[in-house]
Amino acid sequence: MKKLIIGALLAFSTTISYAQLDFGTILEGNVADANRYAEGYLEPLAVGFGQGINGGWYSTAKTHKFLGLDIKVIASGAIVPSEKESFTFNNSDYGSIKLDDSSLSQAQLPTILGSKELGDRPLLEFSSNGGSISTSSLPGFNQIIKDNIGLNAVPSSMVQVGLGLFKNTDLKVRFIPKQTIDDNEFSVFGIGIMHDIKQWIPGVKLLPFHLSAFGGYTNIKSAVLLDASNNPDQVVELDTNSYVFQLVASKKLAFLTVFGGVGTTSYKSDLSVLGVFNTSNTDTPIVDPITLNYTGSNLRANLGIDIKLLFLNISAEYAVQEYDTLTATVGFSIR
Amino acid sequence: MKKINTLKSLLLLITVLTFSMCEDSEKIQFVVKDSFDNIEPIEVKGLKGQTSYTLSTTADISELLDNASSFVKAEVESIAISLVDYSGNSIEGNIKISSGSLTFLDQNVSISETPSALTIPSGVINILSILKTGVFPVTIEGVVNPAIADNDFELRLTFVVKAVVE
Repeated sequence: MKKLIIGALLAFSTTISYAQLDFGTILEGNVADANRYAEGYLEPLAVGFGQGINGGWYSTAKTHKFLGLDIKVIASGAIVPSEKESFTFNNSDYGSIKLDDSSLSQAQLPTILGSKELGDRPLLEFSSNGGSISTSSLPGFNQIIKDNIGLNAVPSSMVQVGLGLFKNTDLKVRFIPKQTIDDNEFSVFGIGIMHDIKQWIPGVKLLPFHLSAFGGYTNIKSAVLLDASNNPDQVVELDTNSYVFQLVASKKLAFLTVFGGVGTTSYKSDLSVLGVFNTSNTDTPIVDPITLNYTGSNLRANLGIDIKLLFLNISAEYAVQEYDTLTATVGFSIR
Repeated sequence: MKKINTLKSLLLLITVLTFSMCEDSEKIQFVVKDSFDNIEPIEVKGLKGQTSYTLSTTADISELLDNASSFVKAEVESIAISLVDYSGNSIEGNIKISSGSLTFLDQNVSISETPSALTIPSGVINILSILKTGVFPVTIEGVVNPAIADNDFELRLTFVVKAVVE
């Protein structure tokens, strides 16, 4: 899984140092094509992160008492819709890449979370300087994902702390300081506010359930150095920002709490290959060659249950949104 | 194969990307199709006036393998043949191109300085069994009429090979 995620982040560039390739040469005639292809190929990953990290903010609409506390670990999986397992390749959109089958003007190619089977990967012809070579389109890795986690989803995880403040208001913070593993960096920051609005609605406040408004923001940053020893400026960055605003309701039944929410979510994921890449055929270096931006917003409705087992709170929820998301949390709560 | 650094690098990139992303137990296959004219032109000397000939060379398609570990399948789709520095117009007659026990083609052709692609009659021929480190031997036998008109020229072959690598 780690290999998949890292590889996906790097997409067209991560393998350069591995193969000691001349990335500048690759980019020289194909910067625009590489950007366009990568945009379609990587979309499920970028969107999946943007959607998946919105899960697990709450498992009840009941706010803490003053200085009440909860800490939990959150694991989410944004399920990739079947139609996002492929993207449409149009010959007319590319300069030096065409479908090898000249009778076709467009075809469906696998995304990174699509199929790896040869039959699902039409041949692409890469042309330059009067010559050409044809090869299968990039494979997807949905089977590896399914083998590892049981469904085709973009996984994410984080740690969250919730703290009760004044007037039935909770502050929630997600934070993982910058982690450096080999040549990779990773960090998470998020902040959310949940406020009991039932207390302000005459009549409703006496009803036997909890009702709150929630807003949250999560940012995940990652960076991978392509060639730390020789070209430390060459880096691939993924920066994902995600927002969610919801009305949340919950009802406690003995040791079980049923909760749900409706609202909106939005995301912005930026994937960039940064640095200076020298070419072998010209003296002109290529700077910051790949920049991809993914944005979106949609309605979000989720339903879940939280079970109290001794000191542990275990919850599971399912959110209906652009990429439906399954989330599980484990933690404890005080006051 | 012409020197197409960009394309070769892109192919390498795609292949390596795939392998770097897979778990060790996973094998990803790629179909790669390319034409190979990197076979050394065959120097033909001393055949003026002859009506038959036998020549031999080797074809190296190891570039298709690149960072993949092995060939799963390798098939010759077509062969283009042409003359270089031939003083006559063309060479007419039967030509048989083979490798070991495999016969790629055996037919009447007109060979000139303009390359003509000859599709393998029986479709594609699997050369996996005769590949050794990406190289296979090629034998060319010809019976011509009229006789060869030049004593010093070259014969150039271009193979189009479609391979599955993993």
